[in-house]
Amino acid sequence: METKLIKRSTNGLLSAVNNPSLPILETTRDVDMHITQSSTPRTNEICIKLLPLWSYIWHAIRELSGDDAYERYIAQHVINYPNTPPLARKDFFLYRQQQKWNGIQRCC
Amino acid sequence: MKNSLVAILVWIAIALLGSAALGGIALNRGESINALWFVTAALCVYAIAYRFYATWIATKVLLIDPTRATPAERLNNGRDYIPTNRWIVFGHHFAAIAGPGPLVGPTLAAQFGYLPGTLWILFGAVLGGCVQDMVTLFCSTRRNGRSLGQMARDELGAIGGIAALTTTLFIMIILIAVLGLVVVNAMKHSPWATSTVAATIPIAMLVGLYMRTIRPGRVLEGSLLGVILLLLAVAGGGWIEHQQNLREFFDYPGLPLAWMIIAYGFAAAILPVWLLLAPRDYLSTYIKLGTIILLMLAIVWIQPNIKMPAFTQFIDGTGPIFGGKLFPFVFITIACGAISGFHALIASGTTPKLLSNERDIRMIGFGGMALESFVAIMAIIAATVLDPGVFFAINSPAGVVGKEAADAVAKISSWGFPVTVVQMNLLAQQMGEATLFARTGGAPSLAVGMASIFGSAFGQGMLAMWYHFAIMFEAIFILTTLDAGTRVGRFMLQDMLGNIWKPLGRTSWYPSVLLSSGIIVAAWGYFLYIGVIDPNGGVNILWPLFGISNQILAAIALCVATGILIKSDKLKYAWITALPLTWLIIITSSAAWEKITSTDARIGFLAAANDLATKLASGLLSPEKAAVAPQLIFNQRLDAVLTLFFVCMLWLIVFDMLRVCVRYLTGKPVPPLSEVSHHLAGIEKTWRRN
Repeated sequence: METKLIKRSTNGLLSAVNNPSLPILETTRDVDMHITQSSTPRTNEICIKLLPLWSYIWHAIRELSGDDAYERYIAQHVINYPNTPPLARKDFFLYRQQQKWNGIQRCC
Repeated sequence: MKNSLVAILVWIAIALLGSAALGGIALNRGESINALWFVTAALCVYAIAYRFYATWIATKVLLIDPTRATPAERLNNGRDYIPTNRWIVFGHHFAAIAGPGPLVGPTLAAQFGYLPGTLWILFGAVLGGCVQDMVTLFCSTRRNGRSLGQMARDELGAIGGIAALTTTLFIMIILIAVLGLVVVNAMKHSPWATSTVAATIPIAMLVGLYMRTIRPGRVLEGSLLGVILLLLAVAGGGWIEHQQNLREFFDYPGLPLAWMIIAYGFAAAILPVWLLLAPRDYLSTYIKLGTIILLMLAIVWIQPNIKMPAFTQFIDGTGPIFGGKLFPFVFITIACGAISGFHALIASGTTPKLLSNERDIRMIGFGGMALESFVAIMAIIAATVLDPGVFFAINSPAGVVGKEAADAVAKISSWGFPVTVVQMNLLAQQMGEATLFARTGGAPSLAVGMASIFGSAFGQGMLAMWYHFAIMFEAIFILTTLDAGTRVGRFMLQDMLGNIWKPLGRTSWYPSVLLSSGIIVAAWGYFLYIGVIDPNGGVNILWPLFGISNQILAAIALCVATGILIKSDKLKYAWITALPLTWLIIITSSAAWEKITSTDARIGFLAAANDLATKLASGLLSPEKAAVAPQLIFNQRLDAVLTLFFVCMLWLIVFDMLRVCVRYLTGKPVPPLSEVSHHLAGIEKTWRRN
C-alpha cells in the first residue's frame, strides 16, 4: 500500500498533504505522545503517516496485550530520567506483574 | 443543518426500532420469539442511553473537561501512569470487569422466564451500572486514581472507608466460594472437563516460564503458545474420556474436587505471580474475548428461537434453582450485567491511571458496562434457547427433584416443562458427558446452550468439543478470579493484621504470607465445602448471599458518588446516582429481610436451620443426611448473621453519607473535596500558546 500523509489539526480535522513541513509521526499513539509528552516545542498541527490497516490492528493487539510495554517504557524513560539507566526487559516485566497483581484486577 | 436532520431521523428510527423490539419481547405470549429481537432491543437501548443519557451526564452533571490534564498525563512515568489510546483502555477495562458473573447470574435467573432478567439487565445497566462505573471512574480520575475505599474515607470519613474495605473483603470470600462451586459442579464425574481444567495449570506455568526466562516479556508469543495448548487440552480431554484406565484418574465426586480446588487456591496464592496467575490471566483474557465475539456472531448468524416462556410459575418463589419471589430475588441474582459493585473497584484502580483525556470517561465507564450488560443478554439467550425441561433438568439440584433420573423428569414434567430420560441421555451423550442431571450453577447449562448455538452455526459433529470448550472457557477465568481474589484478600488481611502486629503487615514476610493466605483460603474453602455437601446444591444459599453483598458494594460506591455530587454543589443532579442507590437499598434490604426472617425453609436461613434441626431431632433424616445436618444448621445460622452484617454496613454508610450531605447543605464543616486542582492538558497548552 502506498504511504499517505495526512495532517491532523488540534481540533481533530484531517486533511491530506503532499509536502510536509511538520514532524511526521506514525501511529496514533505517537501522535498522542507527541501532543502530551514531548518536551520539544509543540505545534498545532502534525503530519501522520497513514499506515496500512493491518499495521494499526497489529499495534493495537500489541498494546492491548502488553507485548510492546517495554518499548513504551523505554521511550518514556528517556524523556523522564535521561541520566538513569532503565530497567532490563526481564526486571521490567517482573515489576509490572508484581504491581498489577497487588490490587484488584479481575472482577466477578 | 442537513446533517443534524439526518441525525435526528436516524435516532428516531433507532428509538422506534428499539421500542418495537422491546414491546415484542415484553408482550409476546405463547409463540416462540427469535433471539435477534433481544439483540436488537439491547443494542437500541444501549445506543440511545449512550448517545443521550451518558452525554448529558458527561456535559451537564460531571462537567467533563477535555482541557484538564488527567493523572496519566501529569504523572506519566511509563509504568503506573501511562496515557493510553482510548480503545486500548476500553479493552483493558472491559477485560477486567467482564468475568463469570454476567454469565452465571442471568442463567440462574432464567428460572423466572426470559422477561424479568432481560428487562433488569437492560434498564439496570443503563440507569444503574453504567452510571455507577462512569461516575466512579470520573471521581477517581479527578483524584489521581484513588481507590473506592480511599475515596470513601476522604469524602465521607473513617466509617465509610472501613465499611467499604470490610465489605470488599467479605464479598471476595463469598464470590470465590460460589465460583468454586460452579467449577466443582461442572467437573463432577466428568473426566473430560476435569482433565481439561487440570491441564490449564501446567499450561499456564509453561507460558509463565516462557515469558519469564525463555523469551522475557514476549506476551503475544507466550499467549499464542498457551492458547494452542489449551485447545489441544480440550481435544485431549476427549481422548482421556474414552480411555478406560486413564479416565478414572479424573473421575471424582464433588467433595474431593472441592478439596483439590482449596489446595490449588492456597498454592496459587503463595506462588509468585509470574508463574501461574499472570500467564493464566493472559490466556483467560484471550479465550474470554474470543468466545464472547464468537457467541455474538453465532447468535446473529443462526438466529435461534427462545423456548423459555416470558414468565414461569416460579415467580411465586417456589423455583427449583433458588427459592424466592421475583421481587426482590431477580435483582439480587443478576448483579453483574445490570449493576455490580465490584466494577467500582476496577474503575477506581488501574483504569483512571491510563486515561489520556477526561473525554474518554463516557466511552470507557458507560460504554464498557453497556458491553458487559450485552454479554449478560447473550447469556440469557444461551440459557433460554434450551428446552425449558432440559434447562430445569440440568439446573435443579437432586435435593429438590430427586436423585433418580426418572423421578427428576417426572417432577420437572409435572411443572409443565416436558422432558424425558431418553432426551437427557441423548443430550449427555452428544455433549460427551455421563449425565447432565443436577449440574446446578449455570456453567453446564450455559455450556450446553453455547454448544448448541455453536453446533448449529459451525457444524453439529463437534458438539462435545464445543461443550468442553465452553466449560474450559468458564473454568479458566473462574480460576483466575479465584487466585486473584485470594491474593487481594491476603493483602487486605495483611494490611489489617499489620495494625495489630507490625511484621504481619509485611507482604513479603513468608510466615505472614502463609498465615494470611491460609485464613483467606480457609474462609472461602469453608463456604465451598458446605456448598458441596449441601444436598440442595449450595447455589441456593451462596448465590443470593453473593448477589446481596455485590449490590451492597454498588450501593457504597453510589453513596460515595452521591456525596461527592452534593459536595460539588450539584444537588439538583444528584438523582442520577441517588435513584439507583435508592433502588439498591430497597432490593438489598428486602432481600436480606426475607433471607433472615422468611418462614419458608427454601428462602429463610433461620427457617431452614430450624426446619433441619426439627427433622434431625425427630429422626426423619436418612443417616447420610443426618451426618451433615449439624454443619448445615450451623452454616445457615452463620449466613443469617453475615446477611445482617452486610445490611448493617449498608445502612451505616448510607446514614454517614446523609449526615455529610445534610451538614454540607446546612453550611457546617465537612471533609473537603479531595479533587486535584486543575492543570491544563498538554494539547490545550499548545493551542493557547499559538
